[in-house]
Amino acid sequence: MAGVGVIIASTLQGVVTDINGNYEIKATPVQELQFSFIGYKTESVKVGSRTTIDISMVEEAQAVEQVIVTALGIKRDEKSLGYAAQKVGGDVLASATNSSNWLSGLSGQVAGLNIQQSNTGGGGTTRVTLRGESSVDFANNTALFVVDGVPMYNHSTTSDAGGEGSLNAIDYGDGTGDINPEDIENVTVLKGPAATALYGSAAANGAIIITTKSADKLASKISVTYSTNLTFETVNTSPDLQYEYGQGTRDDYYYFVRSTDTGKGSGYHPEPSYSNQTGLLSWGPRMDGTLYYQYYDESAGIGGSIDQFGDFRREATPFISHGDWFKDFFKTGHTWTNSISVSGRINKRNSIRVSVRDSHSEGIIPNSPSNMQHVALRTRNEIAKWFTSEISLNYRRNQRDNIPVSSGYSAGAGIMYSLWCYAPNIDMDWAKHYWLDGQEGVQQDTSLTGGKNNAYFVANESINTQDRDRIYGNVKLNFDIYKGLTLMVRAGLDSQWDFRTQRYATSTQSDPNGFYREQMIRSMQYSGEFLFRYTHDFKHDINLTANFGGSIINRKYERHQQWADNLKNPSVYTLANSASLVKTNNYAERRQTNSLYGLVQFSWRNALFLDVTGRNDWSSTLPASNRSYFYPSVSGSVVINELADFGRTNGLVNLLKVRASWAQVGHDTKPYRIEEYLNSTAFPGNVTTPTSKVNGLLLPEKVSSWEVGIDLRMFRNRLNIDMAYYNSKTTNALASMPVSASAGMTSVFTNAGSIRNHGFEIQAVGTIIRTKDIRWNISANWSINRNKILELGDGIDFWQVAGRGSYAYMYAYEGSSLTSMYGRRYKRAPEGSYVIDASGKMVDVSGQVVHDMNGSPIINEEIEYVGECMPKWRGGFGTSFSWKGLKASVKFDGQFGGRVWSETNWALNYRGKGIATLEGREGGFVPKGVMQMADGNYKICDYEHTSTSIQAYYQALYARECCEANFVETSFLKLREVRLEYSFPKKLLAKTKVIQGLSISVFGNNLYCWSKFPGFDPEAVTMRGSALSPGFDLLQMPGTASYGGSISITF
Amino acid sequence: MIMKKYTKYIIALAAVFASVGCTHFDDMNKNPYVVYETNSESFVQPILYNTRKQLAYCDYYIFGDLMQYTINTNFENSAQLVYNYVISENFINQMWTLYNQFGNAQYMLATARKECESDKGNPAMVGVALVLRSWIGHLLTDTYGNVPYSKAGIIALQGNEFDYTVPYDDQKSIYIDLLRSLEEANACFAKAQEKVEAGTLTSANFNPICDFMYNGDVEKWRRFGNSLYLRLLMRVSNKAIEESQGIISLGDEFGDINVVAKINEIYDSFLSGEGDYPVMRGIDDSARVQFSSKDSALYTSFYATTSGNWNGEAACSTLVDKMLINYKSGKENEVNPTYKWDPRYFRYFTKAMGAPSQETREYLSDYFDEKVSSLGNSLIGRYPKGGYTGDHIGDLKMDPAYAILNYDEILFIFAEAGVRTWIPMSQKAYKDLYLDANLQSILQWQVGWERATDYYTASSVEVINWMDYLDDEFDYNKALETVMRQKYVAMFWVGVEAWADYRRTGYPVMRTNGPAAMNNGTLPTRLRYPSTEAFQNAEHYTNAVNGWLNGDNNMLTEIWWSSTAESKAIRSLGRK
Repeated sequence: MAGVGVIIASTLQGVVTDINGNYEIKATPVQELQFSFIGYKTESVKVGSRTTIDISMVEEAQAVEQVIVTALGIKRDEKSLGYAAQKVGGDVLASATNSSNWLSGLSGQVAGLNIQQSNTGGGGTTRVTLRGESSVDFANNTALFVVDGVPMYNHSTTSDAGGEGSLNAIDYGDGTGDINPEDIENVTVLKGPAATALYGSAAANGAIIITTKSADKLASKISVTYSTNLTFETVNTSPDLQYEYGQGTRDDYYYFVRSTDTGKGSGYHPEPSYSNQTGLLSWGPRMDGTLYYQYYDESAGIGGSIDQFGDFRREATPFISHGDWFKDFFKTGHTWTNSISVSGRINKRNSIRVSVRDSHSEGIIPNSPSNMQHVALRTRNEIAKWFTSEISLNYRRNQRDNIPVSSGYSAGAGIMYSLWCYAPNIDMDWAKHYWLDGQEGVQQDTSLTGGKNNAYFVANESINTQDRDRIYGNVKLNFDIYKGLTLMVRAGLDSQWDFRTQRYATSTQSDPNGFYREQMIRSMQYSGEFLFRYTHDFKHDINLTANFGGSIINRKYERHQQWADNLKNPSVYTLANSASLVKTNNYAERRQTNSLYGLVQFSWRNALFLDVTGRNDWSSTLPASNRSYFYPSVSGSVVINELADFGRTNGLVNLLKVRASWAQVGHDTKPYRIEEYLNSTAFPGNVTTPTSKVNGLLLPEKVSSWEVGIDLRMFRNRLNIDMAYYNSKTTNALASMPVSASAGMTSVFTNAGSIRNHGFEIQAVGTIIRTKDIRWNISANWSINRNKILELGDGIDFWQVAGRGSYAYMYAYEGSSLTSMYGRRYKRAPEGSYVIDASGKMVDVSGQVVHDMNGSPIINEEIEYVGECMPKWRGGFGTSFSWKGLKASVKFDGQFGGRVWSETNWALNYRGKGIATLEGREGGFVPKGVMQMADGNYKICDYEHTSTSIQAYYQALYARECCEANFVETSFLKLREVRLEYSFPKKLLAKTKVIQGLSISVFGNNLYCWSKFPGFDPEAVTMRGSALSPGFDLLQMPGTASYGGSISITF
Repeated sequence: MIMKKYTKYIIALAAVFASVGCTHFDDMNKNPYVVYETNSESFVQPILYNTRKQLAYCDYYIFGDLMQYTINTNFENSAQLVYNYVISENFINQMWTLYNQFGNAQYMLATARKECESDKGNPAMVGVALVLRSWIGHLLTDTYGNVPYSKAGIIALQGNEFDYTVPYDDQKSIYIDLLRSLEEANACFAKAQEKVEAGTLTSANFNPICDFMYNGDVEKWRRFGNSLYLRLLMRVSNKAIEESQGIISLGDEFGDINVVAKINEIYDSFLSGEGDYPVMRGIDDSARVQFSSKDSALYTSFYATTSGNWNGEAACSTLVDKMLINYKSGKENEVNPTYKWDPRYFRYFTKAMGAPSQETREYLSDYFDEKVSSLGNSLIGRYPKGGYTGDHIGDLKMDPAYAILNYDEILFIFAEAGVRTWIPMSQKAYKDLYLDANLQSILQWQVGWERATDYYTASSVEVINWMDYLDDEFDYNKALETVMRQKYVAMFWVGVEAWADYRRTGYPVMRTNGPAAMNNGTLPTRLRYPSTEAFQNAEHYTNAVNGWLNGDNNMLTEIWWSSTAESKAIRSLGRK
């Protein structure tokens, strides 16, 4: 190879190879030769006694990305894979390690991966889906998390009395984030069933394989890394709020008395002392400084002053905006994390790594502190040449002192529910004094929320705590049994204790006597597995690897609840203070899956690869007759450039791989769905029949999929493109299907219908500049997924997938997508409708909104299709630039298309708080559209709303009952990350003799969002019951931007 | 070789895997916190509580407004103005959800029948199950007309071969089975008594913990069952007389009955306190479900309803005019010197003001205070005039006893039968029954529950004054109308009773086609079937709609027992 630099290490002497790749250099035997070439890995060779040193250079990019961890922890050469697998290095997650959930670092990084969170700050549930929704049960569609080869047992449990689907849910998190991000070596995303066929049921929706750092590749004997970082979090988006008009209604009543008024209407109270209320509605007068008797608070000196006799007198004060009432409630959150890791390589055979992480944070909602500690241990011991052991052990503690009820329109203790009750003319500081004077601890002041809970009262008194301890880890033993035959045996444990309390203070709107609840959740997963592996190289470049293994995964879950529904003494939160019998509610489930599986891989000349797998599962959740199910997969790839030359030598095409795979994966169900039982009730010894029909004939759900892809690397690996098309079909879809209540139950568990997801993914990485000191990379990904119901069960016309009251539904009809949204729409003039205008001409008005004689849009009674909630496509784009030790990176990502039903939009506009409701407040307004006359004909809408009737118009326009009115776009583009990092040069650090590495970084995440979405965060989804449900924004929490810096130092 | 050396370890490992097999899978999939079977009595209290709770929701949101007891001031959206006969899908569906309880009653009945296969079984439990099922069954068919009945609510009993589509039965056949069921229930109670007397059964009563209403007292259940029988006999009487001279065939076991003769038989039992059909004998026998705000197991549907929403339900002038005589209802809040009032009024409401039904918002605005807010105003700030605080539907929110069937109802029925000369009695006799019915209703509302606050407690003088007024104004020429008018007052929040009486008799005469009235200006004769039926039970739903409804799932088609000439004629008086 020509042009390779050959230098003698630690000297300035060097030569360059000639056109034939030859070189000549003088060196002593103790010296070391370094061979370097751009794009290739630098090699060092001790000279020794040799006179000729031939080396072959390895391409750098390939060297880095070659090996990938696949299912069951099997490490594979990436080019041998017949399915899509994407590796994300730990460094990519670097900025996200400091945010509340490291998983957010995957956002926009992987084509086909979708992350949804409910914006409740650290520790919340994260919904990760790959390649669309495959099952009717959304909780069933999330990816499996595997840490060091063992599936994690992640579950989330609501603590709300309303149970599943309740809007009053508290997001306690599902445990997916329970890993120290600084321990992550890399993450592999296995997207399709072919990749995960060996993980079985749980991985039917793909898997996130996390490999943690170990010390066995360590260069030096001992390395200690300490890092600290501080991140601040602020609200980054805001709905389009108006700041011009204050509380009240349009028909001359403003809830309080105007200074000049003598009173209107018989309800008028002449004493200006009467009303101290604000209302939910903001249709009041312009905040132009006119004097009014407004809200007053004697002890805080608001709205009046002490007169000469020492009495408090209300005074008329200017009616003005006090700034951003909504955002003022939120504060700047922060997270401070310290972590230290010690890695030691005792000798070549034994290594150990210990890491400790401690993190304290405070969210954007007042009074929401939490802290977390994580200790991890990883060892590798080569006990004998044929026997190694690896131990991975983690302990994690999450303590969250107050988890806000994040969202939902409910009279419980939702922060957002309260916040939407404030008016633009108030100062959030007024609300901070939330007890009524003299009634501290007994009666909250609801004057500013029109009788609803005071937001500060909720934040400070409706407290939800969580203490969670989790231990997980595994012991893995590897045996080299015979030439080419190895055995791996692994035992894993994942154990969690989760203790929670919830309290409502006395005078909480929904529970005037307050309550106190305790909940203990205990879960345990035992897993055991073995895997034989045999590798043999035959003649003619044929290579065979065969794996045979089996596993048992046993899960236990228990929940014990004790509820004191009425408190005897206010503000005393113990079960002993219950005014009524303490209610208990217990639940437990156990399940086990036994499996046997095999994998055979053939390869020929490192160019043709073929994998065949088969797995049989036995699941305890299915009826005995259907308990055992087998599923196969086949995948193959052809590395064309190994067979034909595409100019590899001149670096044009470095890799051209074509891959294809087909797989089938079985999917079991939840426990207790096969045998009829009776539910216990709140009445001791009394029972009811359940509302869901169990089914002793359930079959496992099957997901069959095929995939083709191309992997192309060109220009000395400076341009890598990976494309995939996949098509997966779920058959025997397990559904809880709604049936007529007249059957006696409202749903039945059944295997009904089939669902298809297909899509296209493309991922490209380009290196624009690659020199010794400068490197400039650009990466982009794009994905599209389409979902379609191919068929429903016999006699079934649709499934209700999700719904919000009678306002919006997600229905699945045959031929449409699983995530289609339905609801009521505006009445529109039918096709061919016309009006005769003033000049006598016919004007086509088809499709225009029809108004009634009062100029309000008419809403159809029928439930109709309103649109699709899943986006048309998603994409990400990023660039990074490095110059010596300085590295800068920027990432964007976004989605296009897709709409959700937004209760935020309703609250914003129905209550007159949004800028969309400003037009016509003064001077009136003629709506666009037509009016239907008594004879059935149309006329151009000429009803002029006055400043009085404009409220009624907007309230009809944004009626919650009208799904269309609040069905809003979620397209967005986010500036996801900006990061600047400087690593001090090793040469400089070498002088200290102690410090081996030092880097400083500053970063910002989610800095900006371009979107038409009227709510806070187009990405956020709502927690309902114990699951996140896409398609509905139910008064969601704001999204946050985070800024921070970190220092990492290695000794 | 290494392999040989460690073969034993490998074998040991394989043995470990093999031993943890699938053997425990069946046990593992059993829910430890439920029961897989139990005895029939375990269903009673949940059915009573859940059904009456749901029915109260319907009383408040639907039947109250429909029958012009109340007017909801809070709903901005015209889709929810029930008093204008616009009934939203959400409300339409509420009664349909009672099928869940119907299913429980079916399950209980099946369990009770199985228990009776052995000698130790208590036939009274079959009776209780039949009474409960008949109660829920008549609520459903009275609301919607032809409904799933004979094959309804049995999915839990069907094992793995279940059918979740349920055929609709025509109302006449449903009523025949309801009457038959109550005959059978009465026979079962009698049989249980015989078994006790014969010594094969220690007691016919069941565990009081399973029955908060009658504490397991089977004798009271029997009286309730027969009173319910009386209610349903009266329901079908006009139709049966018009159609078949009052003869209804109840099938093999009970043969043909004559509804008038049966009412007489029950009346005889009532008078004598003996006979085969014992009915309620006092307000202590009334079938009422007690709720409590002290125990979350006994919360009403409204426990968490904000007072703002609760207060939005105002009194309707149709009712107020019958209870506050010469009171100038509405705008001025004045009291006329000749003002007389029903002591129950301030049990029902806390404000002495009634607004008319089927009026436009603009018109109604004079009746409501829109200018003053009070705590908990959730929507717009409309309240009935008069005062700022307090609920104005009495204590039905937190700690009421909601009636299934009050003692006074059977007195009204006997009085009506007397007026109609079906039961031979003197004019004075039916007037006395009528007056007693009113008095018992007043007493029932007095002693029904402890009031949390003492807005008002009627003194005996006030009761006597009102009874004197009723006595004085009784007009023998308008006896039927008077009886039905006062029954209407008494049936406040007793499920569908007032609506059923209106459709059956046309009384009380009410305006039904006011300016804002929809539904063709007709008080709905039924509720539409829920729209979900079109999807979830498509075939049977389509048959029903294309059958008796002539293709339109409307609220105008007469249900079987209401389509009598008398009823239609009197109802038309309200359309002016």
